[in-house]
Parts: sequence; structure tokens; C-alpha cells
Amino acid sequence: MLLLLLACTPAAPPQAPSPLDSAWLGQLVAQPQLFTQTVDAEREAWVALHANSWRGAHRDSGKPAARASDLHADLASRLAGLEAMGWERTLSEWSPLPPGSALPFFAGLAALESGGDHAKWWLLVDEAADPVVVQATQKMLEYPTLGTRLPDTMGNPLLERIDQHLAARLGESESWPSGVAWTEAMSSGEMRSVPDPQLPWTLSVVLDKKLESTGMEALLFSDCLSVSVCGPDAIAALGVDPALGMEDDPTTARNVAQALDLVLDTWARNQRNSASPEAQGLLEELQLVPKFRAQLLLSLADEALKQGHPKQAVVLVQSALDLNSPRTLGPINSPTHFAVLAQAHLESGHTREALDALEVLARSYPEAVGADEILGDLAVLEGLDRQGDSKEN
Amino acid sequence: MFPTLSLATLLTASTADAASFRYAEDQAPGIVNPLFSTTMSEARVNELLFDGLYSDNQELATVPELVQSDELSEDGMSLTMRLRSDVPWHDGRPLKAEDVAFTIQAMKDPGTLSTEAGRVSFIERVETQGESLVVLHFTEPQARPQDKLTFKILPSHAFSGSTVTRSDSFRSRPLGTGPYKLVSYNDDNSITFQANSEGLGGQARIGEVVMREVSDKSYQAKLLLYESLEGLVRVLPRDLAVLQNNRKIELYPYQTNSWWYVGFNQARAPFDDVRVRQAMSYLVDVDALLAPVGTGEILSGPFVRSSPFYNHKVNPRSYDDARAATLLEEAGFVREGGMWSRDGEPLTMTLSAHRTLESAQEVVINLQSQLRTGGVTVEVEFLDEAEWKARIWRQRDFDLVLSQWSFDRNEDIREQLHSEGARNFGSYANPEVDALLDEARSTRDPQAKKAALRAVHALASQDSPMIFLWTLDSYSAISTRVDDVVIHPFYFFTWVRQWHMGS
Repeated sequence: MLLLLLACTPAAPPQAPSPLDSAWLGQLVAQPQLFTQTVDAEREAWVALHANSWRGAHRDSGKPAARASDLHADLASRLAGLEAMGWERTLSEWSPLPPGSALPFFAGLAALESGGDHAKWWLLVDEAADPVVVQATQKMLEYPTLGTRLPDTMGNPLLERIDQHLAARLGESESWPSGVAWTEAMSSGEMRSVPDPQLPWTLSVVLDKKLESTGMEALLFSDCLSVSVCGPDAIAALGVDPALGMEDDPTTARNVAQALDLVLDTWARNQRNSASPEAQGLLEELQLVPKFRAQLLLSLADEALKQGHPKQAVVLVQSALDLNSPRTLGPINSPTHFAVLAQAHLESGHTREALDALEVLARSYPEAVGADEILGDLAVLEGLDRQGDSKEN
Repeated sequence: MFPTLSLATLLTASTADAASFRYAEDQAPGIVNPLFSTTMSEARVNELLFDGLYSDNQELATVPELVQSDELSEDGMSLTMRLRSDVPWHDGRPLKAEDVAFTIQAMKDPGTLSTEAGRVSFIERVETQGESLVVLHFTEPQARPQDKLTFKILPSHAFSGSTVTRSDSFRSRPLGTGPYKLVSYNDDNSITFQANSEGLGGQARIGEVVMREVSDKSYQAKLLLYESLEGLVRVLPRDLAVLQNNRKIELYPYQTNSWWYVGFNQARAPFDDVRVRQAMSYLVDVDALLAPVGTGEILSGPFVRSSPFYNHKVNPRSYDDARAATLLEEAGFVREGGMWSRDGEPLTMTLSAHRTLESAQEVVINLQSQLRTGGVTVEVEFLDEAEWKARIWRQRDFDLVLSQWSFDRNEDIREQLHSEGARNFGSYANPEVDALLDEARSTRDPQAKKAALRAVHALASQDSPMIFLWTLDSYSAISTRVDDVVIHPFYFFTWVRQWHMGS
């Protein structure tokens, strides 16, 4: 990428008119020097944003770092939702729950964060539980909101942990708890450990920069044609009907993806014929068209999930993934891809496949570990009464 | 066998089949009889030909297939099932309760030597009442026995007695209730299937399915690109990018819970010595072995990395010839002239591999070279499917094997690593592992199951009954001419009835 930060000369105009010509992609092709002008001051942050490497971006200043931080906050929010869904489904399926366990306390906490029915879980915390858990549960039943600091943590480590999260969210502290929130012995003698279910919720708040910007700084590497035309709207503006239909029909989603490919392939081919060498270098080395395509498909997958069409979402995210390295984060495979894929699999009943996506995230984003573990529990529960099958090759 | 045919011959020969769904397998099924299925290609064909009492719906919930209704007793000790009356066998005869009883008895019959016997071990006995009622009695209370009753049902009238042999004529004239009938085994090792007009839910929408044996993965990809095939069940990682860029092909994640390994025959010296097995694993540079195959992930134990049972605290073993030397010396070997020997006998072994295991030849040659550099002489033999089943599975006549295990979403490794496991042909035995596997199967606490199997992972890594190699990025490729494709993550063809050829 750094090689591209050289001065560039304007390109010849593309052969066929397309909404992409006037979008940031077309502007870069026409005036490749715009790229240099945009990224020159904050090169490192732009490189990170291009690579979808968002961790740590919130510590830097500048627009690209803020955009990365916002994307990271969105990722954390998705992981928080997944984990909450995992707690709800896992503990609903798990019968009987281990006596004296702290698990219902954490299920209640996850439900409280997500606006679910927290009390039903807290009422399941039995007297045999650790006194710390019993006390924290009783206290939380009195304060069923996480909008303000806890008035009294009573020296209880669980309540103190919750309060530290709240302090960070309210901007009263620059650090927050992470890692394992609780350990207890199982009947087998092994230790049960609970990753902190509040971590992704806290990150979704503290990393959110609520960035407002315009121009190339706002649009470069985005799924937008302009500041106001992004995602499915951008697909529509390109002449492709993004409608996914009333049914969760994967074929409809495939057809939309294929129609989008036709438009983008045609545009890319035209640029290969007409754009300047500098512009072609930009497109190729930064994989700008495949990256744009992947983000559009991801936005459509998100839309499919909102419509309750998880099978379509799976198809769209799978179409978006770069299969040169399908289990690696990079310029095309963003962390959000894997979070959306995990959600889509989970909502279509394929819990085990959701873990394939989450494992990729958990390697780089510790806040994904909680969702990975609780959904792993769910996958195991769903298979408890099965006898597995295995074959060679 | 395919390799004797040229690509041009295949392209010419295939043009008449344009209305068919033609898919490629690395190897044709060695046997078409669910009682003896050991390979994925056999499992896929079984899915075309046979039905189970229950099956997975697309949300992977267990739903009735051949069963009309059922009732679990209050104590969970028996399940009464009424069979559907509208599903005949491919020869037109009606499905009967005695078919279910026969299938279970045949699987349990010690004389049958079914590789699937473990799947019915929880059934104590079968009782039939009339032509359509079956009562299963269990060895212990069951919460959801339907989840275990997904094995394929066979027609009792096609056999004589519950002891079934591998050579039974059924293998050449298989009879099921599934969405397709087997029409012909063809001279080029392909198999032609025709839609069963009386199958569950009516006739499958694709009239004909043809399984082609194409052992060369490069040929497979070319045939798909030239539209002489409609499907590849598994694409090599190195071909993924090319196929992804072709807008006439869709890629589908498939069979992702698979891993490659080199297995030791621990019933034979010197592989009964853990130090020798560990030394061998230190002599293998797994990264270098994987490179020609494509992208994948190196593993430290018997699960893929995304498995809830994978123990991330156990690291894959790295190449370390000094450590290997120490272990071999401890085991009584000396190195002379660069080669290891004990009591004057050189450390020599034979590595057996499937003739058609994808890219096995490259891996085997590189492995042979690596071990030779490490002072170990390795002879290589490639076995066809029949030889493999006889030599490896039944006779256990091997030193090392290179192979791949594929698991459904339950990732149950008990058959591979328990001392009584039917797939434990390496004769691995560790009482602690046995106990943990038993606990993993009996516990109702998912976290306890995870802990037990993560402990098994650690012990297996230490004991090295196998050198755990890698899992590959695993995708199927299907032509966009085929619509409404949804692939079962393990069995592939489970929902083939809805597939159809588009415009």
C-alpha cells in the first residue's frame, strides 16, 4: 500500500457510465492523487483500517482511527448480542442446571444487558450457591438497571466488577474488567470458568466515537457510494434490486449476489481497459472492488438478518468471504463478516457452524471468547442425546 | 479407473448428460451397504438411496423420516414408533416394521461385523407389533432417543437372516426407500441414479444423479469449469480462489470437521513405545507437509480448532530433531551412518495411504523424505479401497497410515480413541482416556463434557497415537445451473429432493 502513496496522474475516463464513476471508487480512478492526499497524514491508521485491523484504534486520534474504533464498537455490540442469545438459549436448554452454580447469575446479567428477562434467571440462583453469588444476586434484584453506577458494592467482587464496567461506560474510568469473571468447581472436579459477559457491552460503549464526517475521509474503504447512500441503498443505486423476498430463500440471495457481481465485474473490466496505470495499481493492490463488493454483500446479509432470513444471510456472507484465506481476517474478510456469519448460523439452527466463525474472531478479539464458550456449551447440549458419526476421507 | 481416460474423452462422453446432476468423488464407494460404510463417499451415496427413521431438517433438528408418529415411555426406557405407510421400497414392496427390526438386529449381530454397531448399542431389543408398529427397548433411560435413530433402514426381504456379510449381493443391487434408485454401475466406475417416483414427499426434482470417480482433483476442477460436471464434493484449498472467481460456480462450506493424521499401529513394536511415537512426531515438519496442499490449520489434537472440545492450551508439536534423538536414544536406538537402529535392526516402517486420498501422494513423498532425513526409512504403499478395508480395518496389518477422519457436528472421537472403539484400528489404549471418554458420553453438563474432552485432547497429544496434522479449508463447488441447493454439513445429499436444474 505504501508504494501507492506516490504522486499519481489523472486517469482516462471510464468507458461506460455507472454510479460508481461518481462514487469514491470512481473518484480515485479519475484522480488517483486523491488517495495520497487523503491517507498521507495518518498513513498507519489508514493501513489498519484497510486491513480491517481495528484493535487499539480507539487510542489513536484522527478520522481513520475513529472509523476503526466505531467499527470495533459495532463488532463488540454484535458479539454482546450473540453472547446474550447464547446465555438465554443455553441455560434454557440445560436441564437440570448444576446445583449451587453461579451460572444463573451470569445468565441474568447477560439478560439485563440485552433487555431480556433477567429476573427469571436470578430467581434460579439457589441457596447452595457461593455466598458472594447469593449476595450479588440479591443486590442486583434491587437495582435492575445498568444506566448508573451501583450505589453500594458491599465489597462483593461480582458487584465491584459490574460497577467497574459501569464506570468505564460513563467515562469515569479508563479501564474495565476483562477475562474470567468467575470460577467454580464442577461435580467432576474440573473447574468451570465464566468469561465476563459484560466485556463486549462495555466495549460497544467506550469504543463508539459516533464519528460524523464527510468527503473521502468518510468514504474511503466504505460500503457507500456517497455519505447518504450505503449498503443496500448503494446496491439499489447500482441498478441491482436488493429485495430479498418474503421467504428465507437462499436462491434469491444468490441471485442478488450474482446480479451485483455482474455490475461490479463490468465496471472493474472497464477500468482495466481505460484507467491509468496508477489507478489500476490502486484498484488491484488495495483490492478495492472485491473489498467494496464484500462490504455490500455484508450489509445485505445484515439486512437479511433484520428481516429474519438467516439462511440468506449465510449465503451472502459466504459469498463475500475471500476464500484465499477463509479463516483469516484481512482487507476483505472483516471481523464483522465473522460476527454476522456466526449470528446467521446460530439463527438458522447451525450452532456448530457458528463456532467456526467465532473461533476466527476469538483469536484476535478477546471479547469474542465469551460468545464462543457459551455457544460451544449450546452446541454440546444440542448433541447430548446424539451418537456422532465419523467416516474416513 | 478414471486416470486412464483423458480429459477430452471425459468432456466428449459427458455432453449427453446435460440434464443430470453429475458430481465427482475422489473414489467410488467401496461398498453400497450402510452396515459397512466407512468413507464419506459411501455415506453420500447412502443418503441418495436410503432413509432413516429420523433425519435432520435444515435447521438441524431431528424430525421423523420413515416414522409417522412416536411415543416415548414415561420412564424413557422404550419408544413406540408407527411407520409411514406411503413409502415403498424401490422394488415396490411396502416398508414394514420387520425391516426396522432386521436392520437393528443386523447391526448388532456380532457375525455381521458392522462398522455401525456402536450406533445401536443403546437398544436392548426390538419388538414389532403388526406391520407398522415398532417398539424399541433401551439399555438405560433415554431423553431424546430419536436423535440417535438416524441410521439407514434396510429391507429385510433383500437378505436372509440377520448375519449380513460384506460380500452379500445387496452391495451390487442395493434397495432403499431413498430419493434415488441405483440404476447402473458403469464401466468407467461411475454410478447412475434415477429419481424415485414414490419417495418421501414425491419425486426428487432432478431426474438423474451421476457419481463420477475422478481421482485427480485438478481434473475435477477443470470438469466443473468446462460444465462437464455440476458438482465437486470437496475442492482442494489451492483451487478455491479460481473457482470462487468463476461466476458460474457457487462454493459451499462442507465437511469442515475433518482432520488429517498419521496413525501408528500400537499393537506392533516399536510403535507400542510412546517415546518412538513422540520422536516420529518431532521429526515431521507439518508446515512443510501442508504447504503443497494449500491453506489449512495445523492441529495439536483430535479436534478442529473451532471445536468446543479443542484444547487451546496444547500447542502443535514443532519439528525438533534433537528432541527426537533424545527420545529414540531413551528407547534404545542408536544412530549410525545417519540412520537409526536398535539391536542391529534399522528403524524401518511402511506407510500406507489411500490411493485416492486427495493430495496424499505429495504428502507421502514429502513425509518419506523428511523421515529419511531424520534417520528413518519409510517404505510407501498406496492401497485401493478394498485393500484398505481389509488390511487396515479388519486385519490391522500396517505400521503407519496416512488418512483423514471426518466427523458430524457431534465430533464424537470415542470410536477412534477408546480402547473398545470400532475405528481404533491403531489399538490405542489409555485407561485414563477411556474413563474421560466414558464420562464425556454420560454427563449432562456440557461444560463437564468440554473439560473431559479437552483433557482427552491433552492426553492424546502426549501419548501420540497419531501425529495430528491439519484441517483443510473445506468447500463443495456446485454449478449455478443447479438451484435451491442446500448442503447438509456432513451427509451432503440430505436435502437433495429440493434441488433442481435451473435455466
